[in-house]
Amino acid sequence: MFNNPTSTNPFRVGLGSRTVPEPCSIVIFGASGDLTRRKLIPALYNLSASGNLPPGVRVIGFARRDKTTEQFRSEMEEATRTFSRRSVDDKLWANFASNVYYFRGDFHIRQSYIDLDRYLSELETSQGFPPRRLFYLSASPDEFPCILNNLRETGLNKIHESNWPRIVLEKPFGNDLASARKLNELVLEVFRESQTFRIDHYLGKETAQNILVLRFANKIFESVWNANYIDHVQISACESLGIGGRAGYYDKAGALRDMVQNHLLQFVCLTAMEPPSDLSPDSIRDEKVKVLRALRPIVGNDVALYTVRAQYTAGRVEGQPVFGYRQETGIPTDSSTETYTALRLDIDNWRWSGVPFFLRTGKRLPKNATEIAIHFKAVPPVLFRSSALDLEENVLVIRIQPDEGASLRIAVKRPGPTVTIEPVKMDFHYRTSFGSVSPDAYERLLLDVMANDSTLFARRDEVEEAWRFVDGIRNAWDQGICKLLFYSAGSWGPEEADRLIAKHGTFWRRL
Amino acid sequence: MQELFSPPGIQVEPSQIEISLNRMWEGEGENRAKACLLNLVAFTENLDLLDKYVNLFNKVQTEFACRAILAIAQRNSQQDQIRAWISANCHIENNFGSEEAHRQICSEQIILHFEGETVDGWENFVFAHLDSDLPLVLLWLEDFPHELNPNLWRYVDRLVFDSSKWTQPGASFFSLGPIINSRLQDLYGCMRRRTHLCDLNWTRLLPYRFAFASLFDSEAAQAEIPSFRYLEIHHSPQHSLAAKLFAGWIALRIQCQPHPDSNWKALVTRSGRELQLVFVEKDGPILSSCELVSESASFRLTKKDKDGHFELCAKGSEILIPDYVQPFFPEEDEEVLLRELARRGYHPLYLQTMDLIRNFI
Repeated sequence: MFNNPTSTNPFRVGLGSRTVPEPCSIVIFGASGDLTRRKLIPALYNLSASGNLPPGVRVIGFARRDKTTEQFRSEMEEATRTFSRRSVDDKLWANFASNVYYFRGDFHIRQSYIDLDRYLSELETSQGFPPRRLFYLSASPDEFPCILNNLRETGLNKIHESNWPRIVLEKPFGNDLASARKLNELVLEVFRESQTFRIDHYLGKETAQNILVLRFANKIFESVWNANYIDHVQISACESLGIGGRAGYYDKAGALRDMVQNHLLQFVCLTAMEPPSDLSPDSIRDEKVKVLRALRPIVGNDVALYTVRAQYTAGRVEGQPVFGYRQETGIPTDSSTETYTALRLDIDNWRWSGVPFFLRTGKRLPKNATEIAIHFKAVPPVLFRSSALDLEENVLVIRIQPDEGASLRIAVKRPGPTVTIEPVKMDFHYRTSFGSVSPDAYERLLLDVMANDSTLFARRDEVEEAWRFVDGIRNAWDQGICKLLFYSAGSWGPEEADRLIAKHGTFWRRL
Repeated sequence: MQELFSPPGIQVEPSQIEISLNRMWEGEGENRAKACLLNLVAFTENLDLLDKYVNLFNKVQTEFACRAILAIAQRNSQQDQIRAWISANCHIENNFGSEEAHRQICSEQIILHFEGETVDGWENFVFAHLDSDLPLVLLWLEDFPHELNPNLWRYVDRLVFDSSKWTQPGASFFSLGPIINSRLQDLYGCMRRRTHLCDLNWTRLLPYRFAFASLFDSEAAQAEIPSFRYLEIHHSPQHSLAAKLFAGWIALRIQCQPHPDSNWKALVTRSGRELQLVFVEKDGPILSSCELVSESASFRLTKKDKDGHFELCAKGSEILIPDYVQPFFPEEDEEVLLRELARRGYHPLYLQTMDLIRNFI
């Protein structure tokens, strides 16, 4: 185990409840990209401005374009002023920017990495900090093998005494099980699993983290969190946006790979997992993997029964006319990529036997809403016979975004001489109960990487198990087992999705 | 005096407080959710502080959804009566103009005026009007009376006070003595009691402690700790107690304690080695500088008046880190109270520091 100097600092003892990140060099491969401007640098600045970065954290942008450190700092300042969740303080920016550098290099040229090593060493030596390096791969996944190989061949992956390298990978982690395995094998030839952090930014959101707290810190929920009491679960991730500037990536990926394989299956895991024995990263991830392994495979002809795939056509979203998917810039006019998918999942274990999980995600839907809804079983229709048909079951909803919070639907008697039962909602909103604006998910995740806490990151077996499940569906789709449907932009998806859930005697929640 | 006493809100019969508050929320739009995280109760016998407390509540309630109750006692009144004023407010804030960043905090305020003999039962009346099952924070910003009602601690989850405002720190600490002792017993594992002690004077020092701690994040800096020999703290004349708390915290962290005979002029390590301790009164921020010096290095935190940052400087042959700045956070009472409320009130370091220094105050 490495010696973390912030953890041995006696003045840090008792000051905060979380591990303080270690001084290190953060090298961003792909520093010219959108992610660096919009998310990474603003997140690092916010960490610095809130006093959460220790002195000695340096940020090095690695990219091919010819520019100076001063130009890079200036670009990043402009980006941070645009995208930061808090206003930029000139003096704090100057302090942060004095530790931001630009290194011109080519992913494909080995000498660039040798020069990078020398450059980092000079920076570290000049400030008296050992070479602890965090390599953030914010480049196209096609470049990952090249970057990883060069890191290995130039020894930048080597561990010396108390020094460490770590690697952060942005999704997608492959595009099927085979490519994910190949990528993981390559990553693990270069870095250990304990040094590898696969980012799923949904897991950095407060409400995603709150799922475990809600489940395991409240006796009332966990005791009914099983097939005895729960009828089904609905997980929705709906977007009104189209594909933006991601046509090239999205048309190869589609909704199944872009959303289900990672974000939605992570939500399934957090909702369905058994209580971990402790809150250590591996205890939590062990339980999540067990859920993935218990997913009943959907393969062959079952795919037509349990999945729906569709693509949006022209329509109106929020009153504005929008193109159909095939008319979007960069999309082939005969593309068969799905922009919507709905699935029924079954988890074959004791807790969830007979409880279907319905998942849906899509683009160009009427609104943005990501949430998990736990639908409890109805009470026996004995006491309130005359009202029984109208009795609505309890529903616990965990809203991931926007309007983060949770609500519980309960039945109450309407005042009056007759027993008329009405559903009412007990609603908790983060924004009305807690004043402070939640930090961006990247702030939390970057802090965790620097502090070597991998709880909110996907482990190799999680990623591969998720791909194993998704591949079965994908392969059947590719064989034409489930035909591509169409829905108008601005609608809630194809009718077949309604029929999918109607077979269970229910319907999609109105979001 | 009574003509001058005009709290904000609607005056209601004391027996109608809950009904009237509920009526205020009825008919509100769907987007206005009443939320409540805690009960915030303040007690004072100084009528002149009405505006101060109301302003404090208003500020807190822009950030923190709570039921705030101000109990004002007037023992020398000719009448024996309780009067009540209520209000319910929603504070809307829209950061960056985006809908997602839009926040709306909705809270309630109750002001109670106890006159004459009703003052003696103020706790029972106030505690009957709490939002049930939520924590009770008792805010006490003046000196403590010689004897505190021991029954108070059966209900109070957090006692928030500000030792920087005390006119007689020794006497107030003496009043708090039993509860400090009981909390220390909790801390050392003897038992679990309800009331947490939250000294805003200590909370105000938190940014100073964070910034100062960052000076020791490298192995080279930590290597200097065993050879410290000098500590100098510059503080404003009104904040000598804060300076002692800060010195006590440093002593605790480097395993020293105030020298028993030195009258705050030296710390002594477990092995008997002495560190010279110098306090310098200087107008300006609470602490304008703190410098810790070892045989071969020095570590200094500087805070210039009205500057929004700490400047930090570590010098030594093995220490190469350039000077840097760390963020400073506002020190106004409202801001500090908000920070304290967000920290949930458990302060073992404060108790340990108090245990170390209270005999020297």
